[in-house]
Amino acid sequence: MNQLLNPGEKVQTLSTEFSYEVEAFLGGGGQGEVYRARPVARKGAHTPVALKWFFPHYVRLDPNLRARLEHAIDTGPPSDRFLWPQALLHGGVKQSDFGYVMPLREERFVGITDLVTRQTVPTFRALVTAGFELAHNYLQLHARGFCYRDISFGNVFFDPASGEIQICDNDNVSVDDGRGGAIRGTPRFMAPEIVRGEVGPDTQTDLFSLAVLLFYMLINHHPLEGAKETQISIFDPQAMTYLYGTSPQFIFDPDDESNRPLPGYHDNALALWDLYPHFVQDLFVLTFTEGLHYPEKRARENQWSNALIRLRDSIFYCQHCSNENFYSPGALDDSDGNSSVCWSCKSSHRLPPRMRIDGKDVVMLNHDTLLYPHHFNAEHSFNFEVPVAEVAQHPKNPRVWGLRNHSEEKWTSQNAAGEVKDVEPGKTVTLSSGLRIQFGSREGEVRL
Amino acid sequence: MTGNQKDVGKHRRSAPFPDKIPAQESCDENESCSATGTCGWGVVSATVCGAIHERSDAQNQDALKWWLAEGERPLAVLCVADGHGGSEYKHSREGARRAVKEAKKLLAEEILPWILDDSTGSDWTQFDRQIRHWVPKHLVDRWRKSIQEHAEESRTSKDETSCSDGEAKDQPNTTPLDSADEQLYGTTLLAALLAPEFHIYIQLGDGDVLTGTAEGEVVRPPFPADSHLLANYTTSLCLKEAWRFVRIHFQPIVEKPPVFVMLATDGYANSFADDEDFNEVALDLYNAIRREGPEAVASQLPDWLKATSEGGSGDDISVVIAANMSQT
Repeated sequence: MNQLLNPGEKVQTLSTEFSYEVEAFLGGGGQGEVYRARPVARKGAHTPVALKWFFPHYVRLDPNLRARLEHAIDTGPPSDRFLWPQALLHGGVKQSDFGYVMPLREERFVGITDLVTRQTVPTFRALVTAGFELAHNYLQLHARGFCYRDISFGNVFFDPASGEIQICDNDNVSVDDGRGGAIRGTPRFMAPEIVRGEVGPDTQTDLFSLAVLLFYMLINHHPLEGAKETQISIFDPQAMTYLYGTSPQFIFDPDDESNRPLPGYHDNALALWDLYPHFVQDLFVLTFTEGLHYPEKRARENQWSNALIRLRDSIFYCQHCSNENFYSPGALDDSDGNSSVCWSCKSSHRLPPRMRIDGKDVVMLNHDTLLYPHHFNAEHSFNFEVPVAEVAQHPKNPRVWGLRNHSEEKWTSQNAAGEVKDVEPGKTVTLSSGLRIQFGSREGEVRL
Repeated sequence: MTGNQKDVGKHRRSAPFPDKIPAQESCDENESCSATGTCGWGVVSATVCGAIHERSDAQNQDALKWWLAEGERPLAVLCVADGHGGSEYKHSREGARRAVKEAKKLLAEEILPWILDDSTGSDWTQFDRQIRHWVPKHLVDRWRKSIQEHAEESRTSKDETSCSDGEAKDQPNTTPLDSADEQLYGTTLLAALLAPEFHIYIQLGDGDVLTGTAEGEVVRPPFPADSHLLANYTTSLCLKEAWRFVRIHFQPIVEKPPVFVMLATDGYANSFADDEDFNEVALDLYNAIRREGPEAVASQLPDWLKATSEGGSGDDISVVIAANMSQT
């Protein structure tokens, strides 16, 4: 099916004339084809790489492609989550033909499209972690002055076990000047102002696409596809412009119910939206109501990062069916009681021990909870590399739970009776209601 | 009518496209048919009732449709569908017929005009993205509406037979189908749109899409893997939110257009020991069309397929193959 290169064919890097041999066709689309390749005769360099080769028609359509790729290669990846171009390649008969090599995606990563087709069903923890990683890593990209141009579920992969992500198709990344390459984005992920043809992709439009992607991940649906789309029956560009450009309408717009999801058509949206606490819903509402018309109103990467970590910290397990639920501040106190039951088995919630840090964020202390420098040190926001605390069960009395200090610093604890104790590294403090723990500059208060 | 609904109405295309391009189409009545276009493609198709169905006096639940443009530009649309067997899918034959009809209409009457009137600006990258995101929902939506029509027609005719009261006849039953009703029509779908600049391959459920290179290799479009297709399980148009399971491959054509494209329901491949044997059959068919011409092959194909079903899967078999007759 491949059109451009054949297995066994060799291509060279532009700068060093170092060669790669094509091994197998991996896939293709409108821009080019991707192959697995291996370095030729280079000592110690046998790791296979991914090799993308462009269609001649696309090279003609995107005259800045080569310069953009050279700039990206010179700059280097914003983080290790990007499968970033490493070297330009040339070969083949025509001088204009070219491609590039990048790291090969590991097999443990699956596409976000697999979520949509339900081929993978990760835990909420993994899903929310992937959402956080997306927001956090797109911030790293934007901070370098780049915009991605084409955030969609086609170019993000994640590990369903851990939520770790990999971002590919970085050849569209350009300097954030509203111009850049030929790619305007992926339909349904493009900001309304791009769909209307008013602007090219930039950081603000990336924020719209990011919010659509996060909505897809959490709600498994598109934020603008409600009652209105069912009224359109003809496939043409005008219909797409109408839905996503000139008359976009959020399906959960609190002030306008005209585009609500319809039972039988949009069941995922109807089932999943209410699972999420208001601090997540609020960011979607902001981005897909005011943010549809005023790009500067869209939720920013850091807002998403904070909300998604808060969401992950709010996960607890139903004591009856073990399914993950989200603790929603305030919702458990609602007089109607609707939010206080498990979404799966409908039994009443019984919360695990939980800790409020600095009087704000609440972390549920489940049997498997790990706490990181992010939780204990304001200067280490979003540092989740090595856990500094874990919930641990008493070895002799399984009904007693504690928090074990894995950091190198001593903690100080004070129970409700006012008894003060040091918690040395490696030691555990027993969880009790009203217990306060001082972790350096932050303090946690435990509730049972 | 609300303001929004008025806006939507503006986007409806008024004139159907095929008036613009003369085309040859498959004939629903016959087991097989063929055509040779001036564009260089020859198309041959056949659908036969499986040996197991014949023994139980059941009908062929497969369906196929194709469309071949006259004129110099090689444009073709190929579709096959495999209605599910079993009493829980009692209208699957109708479901399959309506699936290929709607797929052909969508590809030939809506997507092709978009290509031909240059709305894409030859930006295939963007076009590919639009196709991937739009076609699955529209395809499934059209099919759902079409089987709804059939269900209403069936209800009306039942009412006419069972009810002697003239008043009741005037009240149409327009209750929407629920998912249990839709299941009655369950079917897979394979479709292809062939244009000189690119091919679009669409698959929902099992079945095979094969293409042949000038070097004699048989290759399949690299659809994303579908873990739902295991053993006898298949995804289907009757599944809830079936659009999620529609797989699409967009293949730009640079210098090496396939010499043939073949779509077949799974009864064909399941009659062979392995993929290699099945690939050989596809090549043999292509070579026969080149050697003897589409018409001659079409006249023999039903017998070949019946023999294959008899000695193989026992399932219905439908196949449509477009062969490049001008390839040297």
